[in-house]
Amino acid sequence: MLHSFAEQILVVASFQNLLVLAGSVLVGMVFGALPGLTATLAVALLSTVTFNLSTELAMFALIGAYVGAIYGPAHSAILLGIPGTAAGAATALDGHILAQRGQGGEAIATATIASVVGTVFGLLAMILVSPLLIDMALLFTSVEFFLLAIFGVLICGSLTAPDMPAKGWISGILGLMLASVGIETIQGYQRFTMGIPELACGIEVVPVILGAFAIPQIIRVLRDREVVGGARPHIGSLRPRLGFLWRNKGSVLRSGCIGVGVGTIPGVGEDIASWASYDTGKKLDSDPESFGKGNIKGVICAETANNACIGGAIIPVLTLGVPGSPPAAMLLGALNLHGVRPGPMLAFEAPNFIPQMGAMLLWASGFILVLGLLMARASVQVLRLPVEVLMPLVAFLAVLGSYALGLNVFNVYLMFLFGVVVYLLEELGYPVAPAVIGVLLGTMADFSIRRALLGSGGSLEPFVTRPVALILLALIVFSLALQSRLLKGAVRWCFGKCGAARNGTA
Amino acid sequence: MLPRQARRKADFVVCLLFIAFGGLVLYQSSLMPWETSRTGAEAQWYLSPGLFPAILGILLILFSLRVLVSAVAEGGHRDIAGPLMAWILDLPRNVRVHRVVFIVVWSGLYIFGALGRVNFQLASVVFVFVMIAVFWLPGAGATLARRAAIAALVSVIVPVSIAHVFSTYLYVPVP
Repeated sequence: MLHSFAEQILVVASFQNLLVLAGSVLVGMVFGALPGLTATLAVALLSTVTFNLSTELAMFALIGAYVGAIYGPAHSAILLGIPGTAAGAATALDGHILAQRGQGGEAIATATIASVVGTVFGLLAMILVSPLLIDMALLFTSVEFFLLAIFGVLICGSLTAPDMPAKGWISGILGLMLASVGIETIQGYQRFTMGIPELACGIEVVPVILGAFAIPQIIRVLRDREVVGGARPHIGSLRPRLGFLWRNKGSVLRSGCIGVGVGTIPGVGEDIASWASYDTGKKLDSDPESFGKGNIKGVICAETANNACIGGAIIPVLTLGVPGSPPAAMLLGALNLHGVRPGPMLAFEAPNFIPQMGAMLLWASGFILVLGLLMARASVQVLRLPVEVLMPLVAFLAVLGSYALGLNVFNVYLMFLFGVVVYLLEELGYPVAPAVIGVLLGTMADFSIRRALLGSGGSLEPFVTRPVALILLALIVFSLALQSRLLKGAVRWCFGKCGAARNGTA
Repeated sequence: MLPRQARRKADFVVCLLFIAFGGLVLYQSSLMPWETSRTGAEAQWYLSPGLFPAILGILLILFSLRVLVSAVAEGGHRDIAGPLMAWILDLPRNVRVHRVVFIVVWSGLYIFGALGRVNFQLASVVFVFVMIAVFWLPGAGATLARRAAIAALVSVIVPVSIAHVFSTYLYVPVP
């Protein structure tokens, strides 16, 4: 895989591809930097524009937008203290204090290098881990695929619910229900179509994702009228602290590992990766009190992790067909649109696809290095664009984008209605990511459980006798049971006893 | 997100709705063919198109019950009408709700009322301009004329040029 990756770096580097990549990295950076616009939205809107392009060119555009939008928040976080997306929130804690001290340029340059290192770390992990995961996934039967889909939805629900995990699970179940609308694949029976002919073919994933991420965001931003502005920050020198980065290679490596690890968990995403890495960096640092007071290590930890998360989130997309983050979910939707079937067979049907994605990520990281440093001074101006002007344009793009997929006005209706429902549910503490993962994995889960039961003649035995299935089942039961007070109390009691015993021996 | 107390009250009502919806899904699933000879075998409950929705219906009821229990434990079932009435009475002064209602209604009018019925570029220009004007022009003070000009320019140039790019270069006809 590494050899093929090295070959693809040059093979994919045509002028047209690189031009599209540079443009999309720039678009992604603007989306990431501007408060109110998100990485998922960037990938979602671009996937509708690139629908008619070749798969390779479309992937270049989407990967570029994804990488750019995860890196972009560093600019607004450091210069204004307002992260464009949640992925940049941890960067703002220390980065903005550095900017207030006149070291904004240095912080941006260091964040850029950390992001490049993170992206490269993530892509190398993708290249190295994917074959292992594919080998494992080839042993999967319908039993494991069903359990994997359910585990993906539930774990995403547990980790993204801001209020209580059960709300995340409900959100996931609603997503799975949406996926079961339309003619099902085994008997050709029409389910829940309510006599609407447009629903017979099922619900289109891209308009649903576009609605889920665009409409609530537009409503929230215009409702709260987030004001971007304040004093014009002084950028100062744009020289990265390379020596400092090298001396802290341990934390960079750790942040990369956290980013990749969090990325592989279905639906969790870059924001959690950056916070997890920031928190770990703070706890393990010799001077934890300096975090949040302008410590450049805080910027390095957050930026390395959120960009390493990209490679991590793409690993399950390509090997299992399960998205690791909301933008990766959109990427999966776009791959489906282009007729690419992600999963364990992808490596056999298109052997160069994963190395190609790695090469695209590498080129994208090169562009964020160049454009990130070049755009540092210009981004101060870009960040002054009023959200009241941008949001109506995003609404227009969401409408046009939803229509462009299939030239069907019904998709626009679906996008809007789904967006409004998601907005209301989010206000009540129901996260959107599990619903999106549910919509994407619903068909696989439905088909897999029935095929698994067909294979066993209706017996549930394979669910508890196959080793991988048993592990997945245990993980599902554990993630559900961990929310019960009884089990939480038992775990706390057990750890309390262990701690007391340890203290006693000491 | 709503404040915790208000959220628990909303949880109580919404979870009851989810439980009813889960029940409806279960009922609809029960109406789907559970034993069919279409594929030759005798009893194939496990091939039924209702199996997966039925599982989802049961899970939705169980998870909603879990949230309902938490809502009840935190007193979410008590005095729902009072705060609701207070919220309704406060609606004329609640600017944030006005903004949400405007966005939803105006976007709804554009999508359901104008798409496919009115010229797409014209409808989009009007939609974008009104939206920018409502949120950006009030409070502009001395910069009102400048902002109005920018709003007019942006709302004409962006939708028309993007629609042109879609229909001419990407071969996607606009609605």
